[in-house]
Amino acid sequence: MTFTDFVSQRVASGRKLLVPYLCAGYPTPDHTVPLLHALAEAGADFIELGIPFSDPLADGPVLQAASLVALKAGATLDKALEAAATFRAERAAAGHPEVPVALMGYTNPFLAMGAEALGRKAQAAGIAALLVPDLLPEIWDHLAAPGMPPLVPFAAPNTPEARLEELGRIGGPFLYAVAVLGVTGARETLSASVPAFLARTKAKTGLPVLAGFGISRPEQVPDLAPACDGLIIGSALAKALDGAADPVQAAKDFLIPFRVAMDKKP
Amino acid sequence: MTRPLSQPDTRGFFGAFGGRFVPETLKPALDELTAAYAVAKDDPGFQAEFAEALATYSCHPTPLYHAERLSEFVGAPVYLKREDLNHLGAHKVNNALGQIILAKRMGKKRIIAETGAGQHGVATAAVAARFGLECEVHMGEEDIRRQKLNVRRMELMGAKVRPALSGSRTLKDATNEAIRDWVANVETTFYLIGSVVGPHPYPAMVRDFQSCIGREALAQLEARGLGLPTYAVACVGGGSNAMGLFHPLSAHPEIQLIGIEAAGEGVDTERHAATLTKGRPGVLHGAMSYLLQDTEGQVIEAHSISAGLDYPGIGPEHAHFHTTERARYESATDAEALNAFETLSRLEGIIPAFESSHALAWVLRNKGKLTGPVLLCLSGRGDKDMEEYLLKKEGK
Repeated sequence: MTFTDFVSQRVASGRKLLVPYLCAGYPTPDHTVPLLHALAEAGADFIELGIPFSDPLADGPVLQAASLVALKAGATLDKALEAAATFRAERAAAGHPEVPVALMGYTNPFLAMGAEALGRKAQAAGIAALLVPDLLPEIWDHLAAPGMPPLVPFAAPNTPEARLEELGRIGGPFLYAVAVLGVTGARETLSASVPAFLARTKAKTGLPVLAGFGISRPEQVPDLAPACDGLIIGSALAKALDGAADPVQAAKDFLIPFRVAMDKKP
Repeated sequence: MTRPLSQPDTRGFFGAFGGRFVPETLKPALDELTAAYAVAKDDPGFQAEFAEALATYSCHPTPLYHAERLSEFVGAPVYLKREDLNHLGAHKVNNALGQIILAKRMGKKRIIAETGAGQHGVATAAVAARFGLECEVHMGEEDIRRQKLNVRRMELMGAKVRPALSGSRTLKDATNEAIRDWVANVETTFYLIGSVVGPHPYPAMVRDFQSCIGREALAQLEARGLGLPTYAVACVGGGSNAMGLFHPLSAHPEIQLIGIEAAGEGVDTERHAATLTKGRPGVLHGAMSYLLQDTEGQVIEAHSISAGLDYPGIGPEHAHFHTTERARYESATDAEALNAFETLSRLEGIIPAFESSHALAWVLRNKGKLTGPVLLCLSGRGDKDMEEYLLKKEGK
């Protein structure tokens, strides 16, 4: 089954997708595989594995710091790909259903590996999709290569309707709806206009829409989940891992309340 | 013989370089800016207002000066394009004026900028004061500490200086913070970029606003019956004074265009800013260009005695000129630049900026080997560098 089919089937079943973003190599590279397992067990539908970058211009202070910690600890794109492959093989060996892993990262580390090598290695590691926040669909050809997973388009609250229709035509396994004008980072509250933006994005693109940026508490779920197909949670998870004595337990404790909130029928 | 000047393609690429490597949030703002600039560029009203501001707020055309004693010293005629005589002491004001007139036409109320040593920040603060717009300048915390005087100048002119606390707390990080600010305030804010870098349309637009340098120089040479220079030389950090000189001259294939990067303590050390000499193609701050980076694609800090050249990237059109060999890029070390700083001061009574001293260092290095006239962009004056000079020279 392709990842696109995987997402559509979950959406069709009425389930809201819960997608944690984990910065690869944070808090250390040794934590990445155990944390992927913890997030899968806590109810993640799929996981975004973030590739740290020295200049993360779409990220707020929390993910900037996580990125720097991971880089100092020796995180690399190759290690992230290895972690994803190990996680996948271990789940399969234990007879657990697959929890896909998508890579999210800035253009430059991907280009430094080279599109050819990235396509080959991503395919071998079973990477489901690629999210590149600083690569507009018009220049996706920079990462075109055999084996390359599908890329995911983004939309923001200021994206014009004609552009939403265009993004729908460009397509992808889903659309990443950036819920705020601004960088990543937990917000206590989101603007009251977010549900309308999500609904408009869904209607105009015809794609499954997952919302990210600013989502920090399970209490936000009832407002957001009905307007889209799932939620992506990054900075708040990194915050929960920061300084945790047992990051694996902290990840589970963090994610489970979101799963509960999302499975609650309105 | 002339040939057409290079322009970016519809996606904003000069050959393989440039483009728009930005989040979707910025796409509407870049589309709006591209459209507004396309209209302004062909609007005589806009061009007249810009020309008037260049002439009266600054002092264009800046003189073309025949540096006779320097010429005698190096064995070839050297003409200095005196951009150091601009208001605020450097070419930066040319671009700041062009962009702020555009921002005003677009109805933007708030101007943001990034700055390293503070020259572009000061130019932006000045034009924002002149046009009555709110101004915030992002500056690395480390640079704020090193450049107190420029911080005070910006504040005196009404700008707010916002410390960038991320990464190495210098220009690269200030630029990241300015982009983050723009993403968050994109509907009200105009990002006034200080060099020929960033996503399309900035590299082409900033180049156009700086092209008065090369156009004036050509006219001034012609008016004196001097014809075309053999060499056109400029320092390159992001590369705005160099592209302002090179672009109008690039139509004449017989002129050798020579850009001088900062070699810091030497291109074989880890402390340099020689992006084209030692870097590889990559993406930073919204554009594909050459970049100082490690094998993993992580950006490496640059180093130069000149804060204005201390940047790990370079404008995409320079990367294009480099790969197509339309221009030649060499480098000069901190020590060579210091020597040039002293030499021009003693021979001509002109104290050049450390940045411009790198271009002068190339001329001095080629003493006795030059086969024709040299046109050199003296991009800024060196008063701002006296403290650093004394520190280096006398350990004070």
